[in-house]
Amino acid sequence: MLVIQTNENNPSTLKILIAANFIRVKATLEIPSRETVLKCRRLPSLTINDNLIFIPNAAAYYLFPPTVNQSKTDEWLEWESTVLSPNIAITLGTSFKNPSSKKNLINNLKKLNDAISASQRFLGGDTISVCDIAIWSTLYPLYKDAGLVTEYLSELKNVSIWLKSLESMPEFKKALQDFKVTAGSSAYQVLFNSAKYFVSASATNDEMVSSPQHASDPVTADEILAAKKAWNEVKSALLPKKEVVPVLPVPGEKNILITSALPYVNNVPHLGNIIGCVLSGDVFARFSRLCNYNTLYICGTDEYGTATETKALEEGLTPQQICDKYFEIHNAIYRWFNIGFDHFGRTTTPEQTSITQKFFLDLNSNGFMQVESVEQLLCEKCDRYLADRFVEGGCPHPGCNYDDARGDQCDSCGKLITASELINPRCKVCGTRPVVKNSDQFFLDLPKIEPLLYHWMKNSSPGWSNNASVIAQSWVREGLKPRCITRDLKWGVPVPLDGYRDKVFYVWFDAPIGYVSITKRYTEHWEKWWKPSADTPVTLYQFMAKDNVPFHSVMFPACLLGLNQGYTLVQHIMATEYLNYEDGKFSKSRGVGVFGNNAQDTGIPSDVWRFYLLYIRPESQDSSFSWNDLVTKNNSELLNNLGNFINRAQVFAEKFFNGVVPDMNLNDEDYTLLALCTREVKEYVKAVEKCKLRDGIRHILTISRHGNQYMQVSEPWVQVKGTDEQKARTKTVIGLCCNLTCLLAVLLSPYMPNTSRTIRKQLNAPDTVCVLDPDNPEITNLLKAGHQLGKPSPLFDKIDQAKVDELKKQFGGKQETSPKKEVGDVSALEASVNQQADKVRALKSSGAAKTLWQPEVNILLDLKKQLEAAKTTVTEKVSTEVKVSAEDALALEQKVEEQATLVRNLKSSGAPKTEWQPQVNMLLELKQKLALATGKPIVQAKKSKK
Amino acid sequence: MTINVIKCLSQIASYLKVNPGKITLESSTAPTRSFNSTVITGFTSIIFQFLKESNCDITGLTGAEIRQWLEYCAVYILNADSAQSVEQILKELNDLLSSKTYLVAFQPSIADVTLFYCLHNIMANLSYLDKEKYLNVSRWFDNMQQDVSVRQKNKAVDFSTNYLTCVAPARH
Repeated sequence: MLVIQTNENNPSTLKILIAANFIRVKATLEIPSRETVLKCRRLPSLTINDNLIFIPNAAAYYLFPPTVNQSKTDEWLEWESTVLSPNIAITLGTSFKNPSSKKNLINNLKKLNDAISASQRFLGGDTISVCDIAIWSTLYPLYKDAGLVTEYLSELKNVSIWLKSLESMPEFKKALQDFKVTAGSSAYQVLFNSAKYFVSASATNDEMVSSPQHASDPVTADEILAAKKAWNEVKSALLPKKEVVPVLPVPGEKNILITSALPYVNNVPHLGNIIGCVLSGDVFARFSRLCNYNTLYICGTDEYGTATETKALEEGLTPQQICDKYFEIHNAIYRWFNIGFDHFGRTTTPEQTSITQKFFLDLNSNGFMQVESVEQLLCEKCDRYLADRFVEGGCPHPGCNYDDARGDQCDSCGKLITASELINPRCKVCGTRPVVKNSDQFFLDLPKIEPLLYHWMKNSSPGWSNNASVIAQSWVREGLKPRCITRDLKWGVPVPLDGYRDKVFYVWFDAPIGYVSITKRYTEHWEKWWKPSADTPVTLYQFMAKDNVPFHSVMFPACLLGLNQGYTLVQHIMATEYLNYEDGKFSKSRGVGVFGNNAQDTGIPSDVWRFYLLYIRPESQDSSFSWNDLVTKNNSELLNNLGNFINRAQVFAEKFFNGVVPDMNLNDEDYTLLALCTREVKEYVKAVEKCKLRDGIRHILTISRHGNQYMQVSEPWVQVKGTDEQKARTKTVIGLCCNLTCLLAVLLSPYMPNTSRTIRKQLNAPDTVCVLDPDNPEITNLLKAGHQLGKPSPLFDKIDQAKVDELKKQFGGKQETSPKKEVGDVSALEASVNQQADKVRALKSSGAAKTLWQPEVNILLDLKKQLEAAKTTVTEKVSTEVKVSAEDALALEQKVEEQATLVRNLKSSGAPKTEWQPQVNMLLELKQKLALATGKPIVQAKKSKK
Repeated sequence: MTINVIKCLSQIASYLKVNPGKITLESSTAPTRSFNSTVITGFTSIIFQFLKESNCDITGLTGAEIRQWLEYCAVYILNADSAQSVEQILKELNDLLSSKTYLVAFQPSIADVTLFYCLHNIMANLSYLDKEKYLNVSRWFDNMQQDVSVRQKNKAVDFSTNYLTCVAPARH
C-alpha cells in the first residue's frame, strides 16, 4: 500500500509517481488539508506500511532501485538533491535576488548537458534509472515554460533532447496525467516552500562575509526619506522630564518600578554581583528615565539571618554593628560605580518589621500558614537554638571522618548534612553538646497557592529572561512543598503571635519584602507603587543573578498572591548567568578576583568598568572576566573606535571652524549615513527595552564605526584645502559628525553616565538633548549650525599590558598548588602536614579563640589535599610502569594469535558484524596488553586495512 | 561553514573500518574521494561507497530510511550556516526523536553515526539551556557518544543533568 502525501503543483511528487509507474505499482495520491500541510515538515512524502519517507529521492530510489552503475546513480541523485534542486528553487522560486545563483544554475545545466552527450541515452547508460527520473522531474516546470527555455536551454541541445525523449515514455506520460504540475516559476515556489531549503547566509550577502554581525542590507529609499524628514523637522523638540523627588506613578504614563536583588550585607560584592543585579538594573533605569518614563529604582542591603550572626561573632561585634559597617562598604562601592538608585536602603528598619509582620498575619488569616514541628539542636548553656552553621561535629558520611564538619555542610567531603545527624555535635560558641529538641515552626502552604501561582506564571513568564522561566517552570513542575518561614534565632523580624514571639522570620521570607519597606522609607506614598490603582498601572522589573530566581518567581509572588491585596507582581524577571573570573570562580577567601572595593584602586575609571562588564554581561550563558580582554576592548572599542570618532570631529571643528558647528547642506550620501545610524538607534531601543544590554552597547559602537568610515571616505582634512565646493562639503561632514557625537552621548548615558556628561560638556550641548522617543526613535538635528562647541579632550586612556599583568598577578590569588608535583614531594608534604597538625592541636588545646586557630586549620586542610594529590600521581605512575615478565608476554602473544584466528574464521564464515565485532574488540584489547608488556607499539596499519 | 565535511567523512570511514582514501573539497559542499582509482563525488555517495567497501548492505525499507537521513544531512545540516537554520534543525530533530531511540528502526545505524558527526560541533557549543530545550536530541546524542567506536577521539559533550538543581538551590 503506497500513499503519497503531497501539496499541489509540487514537481518532486513526479519523482515518486514515475518511479512507481516503472515497477507497475499503484500509488494513491493524498492532498492533505491546509492545516495538515502546516503540520507536515516536508512534502511530498511516501508512506509504505506505516513507514514515512519524507525525502522524495529516497522514496523514488526505494521503489525503483538501479540494477547497474549504482555509484553513478548515487552521485547523480545527490547532485540533484544538494545542488540542482536547491539552486533552481531559490533562483526561480524565490525573490532572493542574487546574480551568482543564476550563474550557478546555468553551470549546473551545462554540466548536465555534457554528461548526457558523453553517455548514451540516459545518465546511467543504456537503461533508464532513478536519477534520470529525479532530474527530469525537477527540470520539468522549466522545460515547459517557453521563456525559461530560451533563457536557460537554448544552447543546451542534449538536455532538450533528453527531456523530450523521457517525456514521451509511457511511465512519464501517465504520471503527468495523474498529477498536474504547471510550467514556470510557481511550481518552483512550491518546491522551495515544501522542501524548506536553507538560503545560505553567504549567498545572500556575498560581500559582507567578513563581518557578519555588521552585515547590513542596503538602505532603502523609504529609510532615506524618513531620515531626511527627521533631520529637517522643525516641530517642537521632545524635552526631558524634570526630575521630581519623590518620583510617583502618573495616570496615563508609563510607570516603571525597578528593583535589583538585595545584596547580602556581610560580603563585599564582586564584579559578578555587580553586573548581575545592581549595574544591569541601573542601565535599565537610566534608559527608562531617558525615555521619559516615571522610573523608581530601589535597592538595599539584606541584613537579617544566620550569616550576619556568624560574621558578628567572628569579628567580635554585634549584628547591628556588622550591618552598619558593611552597609557603608556597599553604599560606597555602588556610588563609585555610579549606580543611580532612587533609594538605597536596608532591611533592618521599623518599616520592614511592620510590613513583614502584617504580611505574615494576613497570610495567616487567609489560611496559607500551617504549624509543624521541626527537630532542632538546642544549646542549653547558651540558651538558644543553634542554626545549622552554629553546630559542628563529626561528618556522618561514611569514609570521611572529618571532625569539624559544619551543621549544613562538611568542608572536607563537601556533602550536605542535616545538623541533627552530626556525630558528637557541639555548639560552635561554647563547645557543649546540644540536645535535640522539637520546636514548632510556621510553614507557608505553597501547595495551596500553587494554582494561583501557576495561572499567574503562565501570563507573566513570557516577559522574563529565558533562564528565569526555565528555572521557575522546573520548580513548579516538581511540585511545591510547604516551606518553613520561621526560625529559632535572635537576629531577625520577630513573629508577632503569642507563643511564638521568641522566633524570627527566615531571611528568604523577609528579604523580598525589603523592596516594599525600602520604598516606604523613600516615600510615604509607597502604596502608589506597590498597590497601584487601576488607572495608574505599574510595571515591575526585577534584576538578579539566576540563583535568586526561585525566590522572585515562586516564593515572593506566592506570598503576594496569597495576600490578595492587589500588590504589584513582577512582570519582568531579568536574571543573568554567572560571571567567572579568568575561567575560575571569584573567591574571597582565596583572594581570587576583583571585588567592588578593589576596582577603584586599579586606576581604571568606573565608566570603563561599567562598559566592560556590560559588554561581557552573562546574558544567555556564563561569561568570563578576563584582564587581557578588558585591555583589548578598552584599546580597540573605546579608544580606537568610539573615542577616536568623538574626538576627531570636535578637534577638526575647533581647528578650522573656531569651535562652531558649521553650516550643513546634506546630500544623499549623508542621508544614507543617517539612515544607517537610525537603524542602529532603533535596534538599540529594541534591545535595551528587552534588557538585552549586551546588544545595546554593540549598536552604539556600530554607530561610531559608521561615523569613522564616513570620516575616512570624506577626507575632510584634504577637502578643507580644496575648492569652495570642497570646503562647503567639509563643513557638512564635520557638522554631521558633531551631531552624531551628540547622539552618541545620549545613547551612552545609560551605560557610561560620566563619559556621556563629559561629551555633552565638550559639545556644550544643553541638557535638553538627553531624551529618546522609544516609539519612534529618529535622528534629529540636535546641534544646529552656529552652535558654539566646548573644549575637546581625549575621553579614554590606553591601558598598558604591563599594568594589566601586574593587576592580574595581584588578583590571581595565591598560587597554592602548582600542577606538577614531583614524587619526592610526598615525603616532604607528609612532614609539613604533621608539623601543621601539631601546631593546630597545640593552639586548640591552649583554648585560643577560633579566629586564631581557624586559619591554621585551613592551611592544614590544604596541605592534606596536596598530599593526597601527590600520592595519587605517584600510584598512577607506578601502575603504568608495571612491566610484565617475559613468560607473561609469551602467553599473551599466544592468546592474541588464538583470538586472531577466531576472528578470521568468524569473518570469513559471513557472520554479521554484530557477531564478530565483540571478538575483534577483545583481540584489540589483547594486542594492547601485549604492546604494553613488550613495550612495542601496536601496528596501526593493520587496523585500518582489512 | 561550521561543519568540517572532510573530518566527518574520515570519522565515518574509521567507524566502518575502511580506508578513507584521499578526500578533497573542491566546491563548497561536494567532497571528492579518490581511492584505488575510483573517484566518487558527493557526501552521501562517498558514504555509500564506504558502506559497499565494508560489505554493509543497505536495501529495502530500512535502506530507504537510511538513504533519506543521509540526504537530510547533506541537504540541510551541511548547509545550516546560520543560527536560525541550526535552530530549525534541532527543533525538527527534537520533535522526531521524542518517540524514537534511533533514527531508523530499533538499533543504531549509519544514519545515526553520520548525524552524530554532523552535529558534534553544534552540540559541543550548545548552552545548557539549549541542551535542556532540545532534550530529545541531547538524550539521543548522549546515548550515541557512549559508544567509543562512534565517539572516537571526539571530546564527550557534557549533558550534566544536575544543572538546574545547582542553579536553584535553597540558599538561606
